[in-house]
Amino acid sequence: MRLPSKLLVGLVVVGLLVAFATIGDALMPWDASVRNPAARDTAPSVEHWLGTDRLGFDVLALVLRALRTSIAVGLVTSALVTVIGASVGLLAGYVGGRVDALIMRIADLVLAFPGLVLALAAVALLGPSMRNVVIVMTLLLWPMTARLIRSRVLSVRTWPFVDAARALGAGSWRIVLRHVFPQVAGTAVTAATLTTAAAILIEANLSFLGLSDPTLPSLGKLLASAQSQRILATRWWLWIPPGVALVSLILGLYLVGEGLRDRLVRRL
Amino acid sequence: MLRVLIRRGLQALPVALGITFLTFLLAYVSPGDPLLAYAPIDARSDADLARARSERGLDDPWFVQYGRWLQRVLQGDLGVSLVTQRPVVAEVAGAIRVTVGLSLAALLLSTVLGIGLGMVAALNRDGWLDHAIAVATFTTIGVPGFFLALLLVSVFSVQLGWLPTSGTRSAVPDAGGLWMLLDQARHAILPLLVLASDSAASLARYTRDHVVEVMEEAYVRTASAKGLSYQARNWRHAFPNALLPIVTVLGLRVPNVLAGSVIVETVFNWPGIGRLVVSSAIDKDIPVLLAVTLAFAIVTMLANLITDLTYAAIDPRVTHPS
Repeated sequence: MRLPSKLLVGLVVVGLLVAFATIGDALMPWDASVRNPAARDTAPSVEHWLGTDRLGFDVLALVLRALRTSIAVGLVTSALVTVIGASVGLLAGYVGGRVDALIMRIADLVLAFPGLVLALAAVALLGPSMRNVVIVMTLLLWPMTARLIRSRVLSVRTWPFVDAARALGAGSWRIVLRHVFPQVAGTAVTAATLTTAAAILIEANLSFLGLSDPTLPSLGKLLASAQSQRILATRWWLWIPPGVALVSLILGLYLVGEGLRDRLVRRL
Repeated sequence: MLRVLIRRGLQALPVALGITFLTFLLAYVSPGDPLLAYAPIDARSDADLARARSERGLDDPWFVQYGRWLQRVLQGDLGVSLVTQRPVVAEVAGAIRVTVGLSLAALLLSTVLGIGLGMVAALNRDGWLDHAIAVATFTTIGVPGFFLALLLVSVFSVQLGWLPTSGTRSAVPDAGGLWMLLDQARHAILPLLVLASDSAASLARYTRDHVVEVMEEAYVRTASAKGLSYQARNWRHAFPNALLPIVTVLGLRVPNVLAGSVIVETVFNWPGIGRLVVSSAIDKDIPVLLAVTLAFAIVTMLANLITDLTYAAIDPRVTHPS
C-alpha cells in the first residue's frame, strides 16, 4: 500500500482547519461573542462540546475565532513577505555584484539575531496592534524567502534559454519576468507556505507573552491564560484544544510546504 | 586562526551596533511618554515635566541621544531602570549569566540528542527506527515551545508531581551543597528539555540526511572495499566528514535557542535576559529594554564567532586556503 503523500495529508489538515474557521460558526450552537451565564466554568457537555471558560464563553467558539486570527495573520504576512522577498531575491540574484552583496549582508544580519527579541521590543514600543505585528513579522521573515529565491536565480541565470533570450534582444525586465521568474515560482510558493507557518508561530508566541493586539482573540492568548496549576490539573479543555489546533495548523503547513518543494522544486 | 578571529570580530561589530540603533530608533518613535508613565502623580505639572525632560536630555534630537547612550555604554553605564530604579547593569549582568548557562546547556543537550538520533536514523536507513525518528522530529519542530512546556509541566509536575513547576531552586534556607545541586538540577530538567527539543529535532534531521549522503561518497566505499570493519569505516571515515557542516548548522541554531529562552524563562520563571526582555517590553522600561537587546546582540555575536573559530579549527581548508 502506498502511503498518502505529504502534500495530500497537509492539504487535508490545513483544509479542514480553514473550513472549520470559516464556516464552523454556522454548525455550532454557540458564538464566541455570546456568554452563557447559566454555564460558567463547565466541563465538555452536549451543549458546550469543549466546555466553557470562567465567564461562560464556549471554548470551541473561542478556538474558532482564535484560529481565524492565526490564519488571517499568517496569510497577510506571507503575502507581504513573498512579494518583498521574491522581488529582493530576484534583484540580488539577477543583478549580482555589490547589490547582491549588500542585500545578502542585510539578510544575514536579520537572520543572525533572535527574531522574537526584536519582535517583542518593536511591538511593545510601536504599540501592540495587529498591523504592527504584521509589519514587524514581515521585516523579520523576508530574508528567508529572498535567500531561497536568490540561490535559485543564480543557477537559472546560467541556463541556455536565458542567454538565448538575451541574444534575441530581450531586456532585463523581460528576461527576469518572462524567463527567470517562472522557473523560481515553485520556490516562491514553497517559501510562502513555510512563511505562513512561521508567521503563525511568531504571532502565537507574541500573544502568549502578552504582546499582540488586545482586541483580537488568539491561540497564544488562550494558552497563556491556562498557566495555572488548577487549569493544568483539572481543566484540559481550556488549553489542549487551542494547542492542538495550533500544532495541527503548523504541521499541516509544513507538510504542504515540503510536499510542494518535492514536487515543484526538486524536479527542476 | 588569528586572522579569522580578527576578521570575524570586525564583521560582528556592525551587527551589535545595528541592533541597538534599531531599538533606540523604535524607542524614539514609540508613542507615549515613558516619563509621564513613571513620574509621580503630584509631579505631573507641565513645567515639572518639561524640566525633567531637559534634565534627562530628552529634548535633544534622537541621534544625539543615541550617541550619548552609546558613549555611556562604552563607559559601562547603562542607566537606571524606570521600574525598579536600580542600575540597569546590575539587573542585566546576573540575568545574562542565567540565560547563557541555560542556552549553553540546551545547545549541548540538543547536540548530543540531535547528532545521536540522526546517526541512529542514518544507520537504520529506511528501517522502522528511521521512520519513527523522522515522525518524532518532524512533530517536535511543529510544536511551539510554550505548548510543549505546558504539556510537560502538566504531566511531570502537576499530574505526577515528580518535578517542580517553575523557578531555579527551592526556597530552603540551609541545605547541604549536594542537596542544593540536585535541587537545581531538578529545576533545570523541564526548561532544558523544552529549550533543546526544537534544535535537537532539526539537528537530527540534518545529521541523518547528511550522514546518508556521506555514506555514498567514494571514499567511504573505498574504505569498505579495502576491508575496513563497519566500525572503523563509520568512525574514522564517514562521521568526521559528516560532522563538518553540522557545526555550521549548530551555529545557525543559536538565534533560535536564544529566542526560545524568552519563552522558557517566562514560562518557568527563570531570572534571565529572556524574561527581562518580556517584562521590560511590557513595562516600556526603555533603559532595560535597550540593555537587554544589546546583551542579546553581544551573546549572539560571540556565539557566531565561536562557531566560526570551531569551524576553522576542525576544517584545515579554512586556515590554509589552497
